[in-house]
Amino acid sequence: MSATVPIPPAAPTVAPAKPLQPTEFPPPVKATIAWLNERFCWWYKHNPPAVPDRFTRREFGYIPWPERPGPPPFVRHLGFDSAARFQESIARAGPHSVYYSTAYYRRPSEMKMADKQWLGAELIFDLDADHLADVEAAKARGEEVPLHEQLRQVKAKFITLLDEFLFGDFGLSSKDVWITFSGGRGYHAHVVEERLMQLGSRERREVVDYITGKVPVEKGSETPDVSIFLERIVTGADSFRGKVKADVAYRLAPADAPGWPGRLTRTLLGELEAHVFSQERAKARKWLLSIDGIGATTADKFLDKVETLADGSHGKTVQQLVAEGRISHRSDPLFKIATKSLEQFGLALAKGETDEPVTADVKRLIRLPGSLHGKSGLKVVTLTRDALDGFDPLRDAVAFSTEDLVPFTARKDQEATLGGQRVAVKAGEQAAVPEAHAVFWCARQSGTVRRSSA
Amino acid sequence: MQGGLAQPRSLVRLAYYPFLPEVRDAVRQAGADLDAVLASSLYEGTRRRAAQRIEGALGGGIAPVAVTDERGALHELLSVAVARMLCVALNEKQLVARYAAAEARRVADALQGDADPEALEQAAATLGLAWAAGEGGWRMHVADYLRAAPSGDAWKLIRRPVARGAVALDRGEAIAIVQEALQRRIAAELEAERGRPVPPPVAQALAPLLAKLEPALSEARESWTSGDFGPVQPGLFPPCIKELFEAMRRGEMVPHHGRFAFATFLGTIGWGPEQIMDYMSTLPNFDREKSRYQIEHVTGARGVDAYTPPGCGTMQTNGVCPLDKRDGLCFKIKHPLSYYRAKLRFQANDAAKAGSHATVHGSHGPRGNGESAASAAPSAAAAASADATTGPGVAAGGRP
Repeated sequence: MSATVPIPPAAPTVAPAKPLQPTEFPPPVKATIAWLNERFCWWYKHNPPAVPDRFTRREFGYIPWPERPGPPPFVRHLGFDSAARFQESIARAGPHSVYYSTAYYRRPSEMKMADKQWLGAELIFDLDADHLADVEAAKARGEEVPLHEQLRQVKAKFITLLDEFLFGDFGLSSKDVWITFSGGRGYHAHVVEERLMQLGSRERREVVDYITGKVPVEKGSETPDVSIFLERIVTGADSFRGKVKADVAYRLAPADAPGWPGRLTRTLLGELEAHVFSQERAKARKWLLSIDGIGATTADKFLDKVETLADGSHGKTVQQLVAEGRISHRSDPLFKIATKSLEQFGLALAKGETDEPVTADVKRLIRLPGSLHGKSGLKVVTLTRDALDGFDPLRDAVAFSTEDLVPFTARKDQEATLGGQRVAVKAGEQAAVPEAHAVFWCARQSGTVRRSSA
Repeated sequence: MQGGLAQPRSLVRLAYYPFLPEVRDAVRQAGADLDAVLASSLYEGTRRRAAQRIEGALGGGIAPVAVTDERGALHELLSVAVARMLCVALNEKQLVARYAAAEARRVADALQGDADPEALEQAAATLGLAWAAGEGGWRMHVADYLRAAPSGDAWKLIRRPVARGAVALDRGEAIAIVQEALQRRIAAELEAERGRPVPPPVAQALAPLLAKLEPALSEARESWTSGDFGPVQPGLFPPCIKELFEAMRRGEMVPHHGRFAFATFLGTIGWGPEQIMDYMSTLPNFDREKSRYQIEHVTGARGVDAYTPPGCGTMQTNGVCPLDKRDGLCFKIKHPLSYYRAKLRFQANDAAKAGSHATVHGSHGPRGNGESAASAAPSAAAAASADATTGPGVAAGGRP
């Protein structure tokens, strides 16, 4: 189950070919699910989740623990009139996952979406390790990036999204953005700024395009058209045999300019800094040649230019020119390298990430902060931007005890470090493991517990 | 511009901006009477100008007139009121859209030439546009900008300098935003009225004007792509819809967004839920009863409004657009329905060129009497290749 749930407009169902499925769980699995359910009930009783603002206007839903194989039902269209009633209900059910609607409605518990009467919705950014390039590439090779590494990478991407785009370009303040660890393998940002909450789906898609750096592509090509960021400047005119031809130079925005125009220049400058200005000539040349469309002639001419201007005695250095966005004439090696590298990777390096359909959706259910994630037993933790830097989900989102031991039988060899405790288990062997580890593995369906009769 | 700068709120000045709130009072004070405006020979010129506004909307735009005195201003303002009545009475969605666009463009031109900086600010305030005007131009909150910006690549947020939550605009862009807001407002107001019965005396008074406008309207109608798509022709589907059908036919799991696009597309171009289900029932694993509710829901058969199929932008965001299978036409349109419409138009043009061979009314030429070649051709051509519209015929278009 992904972190958020799309809500219809429903489309025709084409049922997948059904594999033959047993109709009952084997007894140990059944007992394990019952144990998880009981532990979740206990946890919710002692840790009632805070309810979101305007919560009487929200729809709630949950996924119960499965009673038999196959997808469990999704219980939704629930509305509550008091926080206490909601918290009691959750502690009684102790469900696998708890969701609330990012939208708030005049009548949240109506069964038909049209009858609910939409009033606004949080603008959601959802980053999941599943969608990281590294994780996808490893998956394609049949490998798996270690969980802590996935979590580290997704956090870095999430910080870019927050700092560059939400707090940066969009000028939001910390009270406008709720930051949560999703309890699974990602992070959510809920933007609750009043004007942005009123945006419809079309405008939210525009926000997605902005953050993910989607520029219009040229006709018939997949290469992004960075020419839209170039300013054309007539620097003079030549006349030849009576014909006057304008002398045209191009400019990117200066590196300190706001928004994407400045971001692209900063990215270009950063790349040239890392691969050319700070490198030996041979290494820099190799990097330049790796850019599609840059040949030996252009690369050499560019390196000559960098060297000639380096001491500043001929005016500005290439670094300074790039920082000011002055990439010169079309025939200049700098122009070619700047445009080609931006097309090929500059845009990709500078862009932010978000799960696109989630951000564009104005009617979605999302995991409730303060609830437990049924596939990990980790808690959906609300964070401040400052706390995010030092946040380690495998230490700070652990909900269950790392001291109480539980009799656990693993289905495969595995290890996990939760709350600073590294525990390794072998397939088929019974071992006493901390409750947190047992919940973590059982929720991932990689082991069972024997219920103590005490 | 011609407006009197010395007296900024004068009727003469208001004549250029009929949407401003003080217009109503000013016109009332001037003592105009609706019955007279519609019937009296004193207002002949006003009615002529109203008809001219409609013709302008149908053609190359509403020609500006120079307003020099109060009487002229009153005529101009009243002609807007009459033109709006004509729009409502003519009950044509496309006309309302064109009229709104034409009036908004005229206002934008007036603002462009208006030396008084207050004119733009007053227009923006009236239209509920929030921005801060300063030394370096106009700054709009990003949410307000996203709602107010016209569609089109030039307005994409990524091309704009966005800083601290605000988008910077120059004067031309600020005027374009006013134009867009005004167009939307006029269209929404008239759309709410359109088709409502006009009181008999008013209808009677409008009748001669309506009759006069009818030829221009029917000529324009021919070039509009109406909501009527004629018989469904799967051979003309855009690549995305063909892809979806092929994927379903191969028994692949088509994601939610894809199924939604497919059902709403077919629903919009004229198939009912039963026909869509018939069509999809050739697919393996299609559960008719399970899908019935959903298909009826999205095609508007269950009392809610039908869903419009997603446009190209949405299809791309949702990963439904087969980016590598797009053809030349794809790059000229922004909506799968436009693709289909364009194909229908090409087909009609081809049929028209083929002459009497393909069309029943071929001899009338492109501007025949009412039953035009352009509107008759698709059905005739479809009838000629009837097998393309039945069952798996769609595969013929998509098969390698």
